Amino acid sequence: MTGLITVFWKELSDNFTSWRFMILFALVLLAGVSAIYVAAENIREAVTEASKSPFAATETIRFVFLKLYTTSGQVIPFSFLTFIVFFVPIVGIALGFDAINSEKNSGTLSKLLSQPIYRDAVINGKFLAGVVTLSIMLASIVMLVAGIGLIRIGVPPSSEETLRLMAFLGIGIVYGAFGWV
Amino acid sequence: MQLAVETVDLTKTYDNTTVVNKLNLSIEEGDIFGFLGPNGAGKTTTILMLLGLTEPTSGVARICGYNSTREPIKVKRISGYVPERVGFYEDLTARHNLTYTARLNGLSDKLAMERIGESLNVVGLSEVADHKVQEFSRGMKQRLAIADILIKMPKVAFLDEPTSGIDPEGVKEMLDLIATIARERGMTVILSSHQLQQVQQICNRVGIIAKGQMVVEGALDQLGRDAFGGGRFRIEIQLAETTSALVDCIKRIDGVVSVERSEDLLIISCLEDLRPQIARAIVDNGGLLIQMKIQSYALEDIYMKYFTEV
Repeated sequence: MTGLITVFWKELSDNFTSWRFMILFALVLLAGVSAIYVAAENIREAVTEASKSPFAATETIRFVFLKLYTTSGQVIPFSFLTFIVFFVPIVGIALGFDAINSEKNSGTLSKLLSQPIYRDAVINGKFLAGVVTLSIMLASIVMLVAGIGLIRIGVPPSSEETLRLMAFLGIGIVYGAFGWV
Repeated sequence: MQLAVETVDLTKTYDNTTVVNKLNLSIEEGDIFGFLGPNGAGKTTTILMLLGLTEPTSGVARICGYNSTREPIKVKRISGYVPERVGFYEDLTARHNLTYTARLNGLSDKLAMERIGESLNVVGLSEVADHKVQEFSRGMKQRLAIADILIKMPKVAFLDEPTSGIDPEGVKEMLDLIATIARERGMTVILSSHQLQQVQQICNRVGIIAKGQMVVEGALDQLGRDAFGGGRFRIEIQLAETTSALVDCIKRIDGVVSVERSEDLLIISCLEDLRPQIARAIVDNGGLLIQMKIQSYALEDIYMKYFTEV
């Protein structure tokens, strides 16, 4: 257990200080914020249009806040959700693809494995660190976007919307974790 | 006494190629064991099996009584390993690298701090402790690797080619360092190398491995005796005139193993440095000594001898 925790903390701090992470974070942030900006611009229109439709009217109006994440505009034809669908696995892959390989190339792997820890501890520790990094990244972006959205559209999320948002986060993390693997 | 390292018929086969073939090895505690052999002889594979990093195809490897295959964690707790191409996390400082090792070994922070300071001091890297490893030379990295294993105070240390890629002066320093540490801490050291001249300076026992089999193993002086029909020293003398009476007289000296004549030279093989006694025998017999040379058998001679046989 000590091995796993030690590897976890080491990898987590490595992840957060690496250039790769900084660049990825900047990219995802930029994409997310621009998507939300466009969505906020178009949201009024979207709501009005949706309320005209006889079928889903009540639904859409109930989840106005979540529309922030799913509306796309003419300038950028992707919603925040689409960005997440694309980027999250990429982040997962980027954090995980050379987790073991880089240790092997730098000659630290055999030193690491000759320490009194189980081999699983190395893999699991690295995986957990990747997942936690991804979670923090995703959660902070979703929250940031929520903040921007609040200011832009002035509609607070209902408790159900918040729960849905949380569920989305959870699923997003699991989705990204597959990218790591 | 319990053996520090023991292997019984240790065998490793990769895709029909036998890398290590029924290797039997026993190393006592406190030994500095030189594990010699050309590249590809199976040295590294043997070390990996001893550490439980590779599974043997058959046979048993034990370290201080623990089975390397069944109890790898216990084995790793008491043994340190410096791989041939040792690496560190380049963007961390020397101290941080060692801290990671200390934590992986479950040391408390206080104990870790103490041992890290001490280890860095022993290898002479205290001054650069807070420099990033990427600034280090190859020799410094090797020394840091030694510090790295000292953190866990191992009973047995495996050093795989610890002198490769270092300049001659650095090699000497490195070997002195290893010898000092081993002596002071009573640590068993297994030093794998293909550089004989280096290893023989500090090892008290050697094993020569070729094609996965142990060709010869034993204490250094013992090996010399076995290999060269007797003596450990070889004295060459040149006389103005060689008489058989003189040869007989020299043969009678205590400690002389054999005397051979080749042209005008007498080659005497003996167990100790008998130059004074031989000189007196020559003078007593009225001989005229032109020159006398002594050489002790270097491991290289032994090595070459065994390798021409293989």
